[in-house]
Amino acid sequence: MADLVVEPILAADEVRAEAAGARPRRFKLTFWLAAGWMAAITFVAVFANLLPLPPPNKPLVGPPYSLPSWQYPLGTDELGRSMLSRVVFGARVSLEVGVAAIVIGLLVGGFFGLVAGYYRGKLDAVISAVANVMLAFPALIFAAALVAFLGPSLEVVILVIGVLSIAPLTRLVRATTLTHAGREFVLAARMMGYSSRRILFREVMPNVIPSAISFALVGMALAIVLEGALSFLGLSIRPPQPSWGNMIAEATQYLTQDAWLVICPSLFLFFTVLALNLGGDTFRAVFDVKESAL
Amino acid sequence: MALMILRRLGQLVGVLLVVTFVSYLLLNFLPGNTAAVIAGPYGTKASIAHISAQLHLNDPLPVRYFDWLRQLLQGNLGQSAFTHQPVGQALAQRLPCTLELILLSQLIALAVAVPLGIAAALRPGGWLDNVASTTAFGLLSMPAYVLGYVLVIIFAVNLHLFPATGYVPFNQAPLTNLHDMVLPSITLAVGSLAVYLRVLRAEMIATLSEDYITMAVAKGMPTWRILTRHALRPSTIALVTVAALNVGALFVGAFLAEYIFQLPGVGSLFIQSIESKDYLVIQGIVVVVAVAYVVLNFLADVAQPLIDPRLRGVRRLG
Repeated sequence: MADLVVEPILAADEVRAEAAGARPRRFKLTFWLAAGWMAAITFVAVFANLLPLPPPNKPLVGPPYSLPSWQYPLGTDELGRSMLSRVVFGARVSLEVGVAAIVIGLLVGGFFGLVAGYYRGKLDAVISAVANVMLAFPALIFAAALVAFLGPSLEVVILVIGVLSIAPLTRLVRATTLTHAGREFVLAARMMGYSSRRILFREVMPNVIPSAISFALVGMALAIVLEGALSFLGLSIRPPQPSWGNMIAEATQYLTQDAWLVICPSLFLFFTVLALNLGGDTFRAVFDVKESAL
Repeated sequence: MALMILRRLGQLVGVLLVVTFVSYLLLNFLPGNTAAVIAGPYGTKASIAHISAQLHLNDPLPVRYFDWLRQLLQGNLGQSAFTHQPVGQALAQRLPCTLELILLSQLIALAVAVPLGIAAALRPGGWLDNVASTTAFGLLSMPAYVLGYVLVIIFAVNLHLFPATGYVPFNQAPLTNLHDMVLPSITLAVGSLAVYLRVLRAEMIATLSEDYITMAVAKGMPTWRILTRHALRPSTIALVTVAALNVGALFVGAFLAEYIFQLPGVGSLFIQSIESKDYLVIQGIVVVVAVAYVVLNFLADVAQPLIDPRLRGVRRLG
């Protein structure tokens, strides 16, 4: 009996190992560039305080409107503050929001999605209905309204974006769980008398994780764009504390004098979002997550 | 078919009730005395009492909600705490600008995405497909508030081709209006364009591998006729669904584009109201946008069997 169950599992493992061997060949150069960019951004954001940078709000580090040079790597802004320092501290805000919001979404949405997809029935109907209604609100408009009603602060922004990411993640995890809950290895585990909880978290969940990661990367990109939009509208962290969004918003006043002040934070935002999207895309291709599962 | 529409209509009413209720609940998130906060820092005792009476703030929540809903159905969304203009009227004044922006952007997006999507699907992996897909992927990573300023820097500040700000209503000076709308429409179009291109390309590739296409090719039907008559129509279903789902993002993009280019649309009203803490206006805009979004998605769902006869009379799977 045990052999009957174990053998297919071993066979599946072999197939998986083969796939793992084939995997590196499918990672393209763009993926490594994206991964390198994210690693660099994460590193400077985490260790921003330890890096040899002038404080982000210190004026007249150099003459105002300096262009990038050896002395001022990314130039200086209208008050002579170091753009490099401001962009690095801005990265901190973006990553903090992106990671925290997606963790909220993954924990809550992942749990509800697993439960709904595994147990189905009335529980599924209720969870799906709630998720569908939550998806009925255009994210930024609802987020902006909520932040306006609750009062802007970084915690509120994280919470609001986190709550908004619950519904799409619930839907995705539910759909993926559905496709795995009927598979043979789940049936086998059930026949061996494992508890539902064990099957759900030890058998089903590991199979759901790849698609959840792929979507979490894209979701992080969306969260960063959303935070940027809120910052841009003055609804997230307030100047002089730098974030990419509020740097863009502030610099638009000096668009005719020095367009670089808009371009510089925009580039950082663009490359980060692009890198996360590429990462999500690569994961999806490697683990063959069906886009229609959404 | 009729039964399906009826059942979907029931769901629609349910979702609308919840959506309006959540929009209504926004007021409950206000810190402190709701009426006093709505009245703003210059609210007098009389105006606070007036607001409190008008919104029935002393009634229990369900009573208040249904009363508010009744008012909403009559087009009464309360009035601005600062201009004292009715919210419905303010919205009506600014809606044409937003709708024009959305309409123009969708025309641009479809005019580019449909031919490009078809051409890319004809030779998947060819140079055109690679360029189009890569560009679309890059554009999807560019938020509206970045793209808008890139366009301003290139076309307004450096080339002086199009204005960065300014708006004349269409019925007063159509040509000036269109000229002013070029940059905002492109800003808004790009996001949709990339999404439509990707979806149409994927759908067309799938459709073109169907047996009936091979059949049509074997019969010697001209390529353009196969593409337009046989392949495009079934591929449009996904496009309609995606376009409807895109409406939320479209409103968001329109709001940002209006803010960037200082157009007098609903978006700039929304952002002004957030800055001035004009809560009833914010709430009114949220509820109108959410209802529009839900209704459009319902229409897209119902429209699917009209586009594709294969879906008629059969319950859709999934």
